[in-house]
Amino acid sequence: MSAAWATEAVTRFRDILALVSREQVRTAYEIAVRLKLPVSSTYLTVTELERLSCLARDESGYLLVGIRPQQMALDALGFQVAAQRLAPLVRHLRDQSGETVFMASMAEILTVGTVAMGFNPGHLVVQSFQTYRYATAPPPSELTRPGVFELTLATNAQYGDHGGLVNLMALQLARSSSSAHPATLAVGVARPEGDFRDAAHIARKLLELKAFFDSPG
Amino acid sequence: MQSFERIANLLSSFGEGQAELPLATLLARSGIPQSTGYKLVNALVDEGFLQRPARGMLALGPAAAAFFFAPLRALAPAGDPSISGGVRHYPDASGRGMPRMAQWNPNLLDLVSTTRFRREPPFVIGFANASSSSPWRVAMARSLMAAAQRQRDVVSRVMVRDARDDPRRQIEQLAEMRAERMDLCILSAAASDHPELLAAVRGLGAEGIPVIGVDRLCGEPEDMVSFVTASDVLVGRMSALWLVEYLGGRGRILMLCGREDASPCRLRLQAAMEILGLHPDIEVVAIEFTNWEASLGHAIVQRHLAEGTKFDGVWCDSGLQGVGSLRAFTEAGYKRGTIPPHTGGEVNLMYKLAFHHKIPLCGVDYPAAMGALSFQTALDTLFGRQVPRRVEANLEIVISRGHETASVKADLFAEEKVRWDREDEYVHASGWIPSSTTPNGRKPFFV
Repeated sequence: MSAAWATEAVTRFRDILALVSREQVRTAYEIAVRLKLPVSSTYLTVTELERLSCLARDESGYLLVGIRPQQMALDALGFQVAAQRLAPLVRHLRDQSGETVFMASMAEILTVGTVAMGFNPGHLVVQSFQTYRYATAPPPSELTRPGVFELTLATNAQYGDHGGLVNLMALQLARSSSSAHPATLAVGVARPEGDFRDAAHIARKLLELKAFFDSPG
Repeated sequence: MQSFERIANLLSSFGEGQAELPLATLLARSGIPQSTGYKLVNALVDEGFLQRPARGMLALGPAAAAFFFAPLRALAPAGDPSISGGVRHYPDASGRGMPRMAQWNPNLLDLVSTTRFRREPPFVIGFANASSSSPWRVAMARSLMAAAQRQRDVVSRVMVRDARDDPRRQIEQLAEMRAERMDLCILSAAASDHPELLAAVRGLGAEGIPVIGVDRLCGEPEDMVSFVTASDVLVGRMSALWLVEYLGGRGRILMLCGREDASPCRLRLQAAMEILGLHPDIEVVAIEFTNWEASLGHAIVQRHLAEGTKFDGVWCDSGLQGVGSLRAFTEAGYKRGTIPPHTGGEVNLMYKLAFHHKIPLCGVDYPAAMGALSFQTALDTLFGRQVPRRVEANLEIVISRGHETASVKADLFAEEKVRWDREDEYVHASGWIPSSTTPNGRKPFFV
């Protein structure tokens, strides 16, 4: 049986991270109201989580999941990759392609990781904790080969379904070290339906990105 | 409040090829006594953050993997089908235009170990600010101070010094703060190319005082632990590209830059000139430096207009001087809808004027929130956590509605960005600054 203080701390840790992943919140007060927590202790908790880099803030001051939980997640998925190296890659590909770009863990389902919102009128918005199933059902083992590949994805309904398909053009960055749950860390450009008419351009950018990632830095 | 530090330490103990750890090793690594450690581990197992793959062994669980999701920006609430998940058009291969960034900066993937700088709190932090001469600089400093105020339990003192753009004064201030035993220095350099200032910065590093750069660099990023910035190249490149494309590749342009001796100004101008140089029918009438002051921007444009110079567009590397230019045009009698297109963001008044006077505008909001970001990087350094050599804040491109071009699309339209409820000098993208840190008795920004 867990001690009550430990359970409460872990639950609060989880709930706050999940809340800032789903909603725009800036203050401890907003968190306290949404999670029905005491304001004073929530203030201390948020401050401490920021100090520990478990929470971060974006340019408008909204709270985000910090670098340590991101690293924890990569470790849990078996990817031996520094979390701090992923966001610059996503942002660069977004700036090169003008599309929604995401990191994804690809196994039986595809789980979206670090997300950059595309900036052009064709962008796709990916919801928090979004997972997809493979609409064209390729065996996951085929996704581990090197090189650029294309996939059609369908939203897993329990996380909210926009009713459309998503086309992904992606590249493997790393493979999971977990033998029990093999997975691939992929980075890709996603579009809401439609073909990649500029596939050669995107493929070049993906290969370039892989070279940056593999360089010693 | 120790619980959260212990949770973070426990969950950060895996990785680097160690997917499973014995309970005793895990607790020892995390520095947690066994009695409390068992309770915390049990609670983490109950919530799925940890799992027991074998007797006496622990591994990260499915709840830990869930936080793989980590957006670069907080997600706006869904609801508008035209924005959220909806399909609009996107350019085909022929209409793609130019990308936002031309080059990759390898510093972005370079990580720095800071274990040698690890200290026990409370910390004394020095903030050597180049100047507070513009609303942007005030907002950047305020965002840093707001972040420091939130962490007052571990920061006993923040010494703030304003060099008033004088590198010699900044050298003295660095020596003064070193004498007052600062643990870390956050530096926004008063000059980008100043050998004595660079020697002073390197001197701090040699004495074991880590330096975190913010906004303005002196020397190279390698002279500091980390440099917190946003892409000045992107600011210069995209604003120039928008102006060129908006003008159809032909016209006379006035360039209004910031400070000649500041790295952001130099980088933005260089990037803009590279774009303009690709278009032979674009004539740069003059390149002027405004020190990012509205009054100087105003005076320069007023002088050119009085001389009878005609411009098809005005490139400003910031809205700080851009508002001065817009005022000069309105005072010269330009009617609504006739003021030439401008670039330059950040300042609320820029967006207000663009709306009132129907001016085609492209603003790239250079985030003053990098002040808070530099403070977080400072804390990470003093706690001995790995930090990136270069931290880049996200940039947002803001364009007046109906004025997007083939290559330059809006992240947000100016009409959505403008804050009618906020003061003229309000600086966008300045992070979370509670009203308690806003000084009373504001002076109007533009006179």
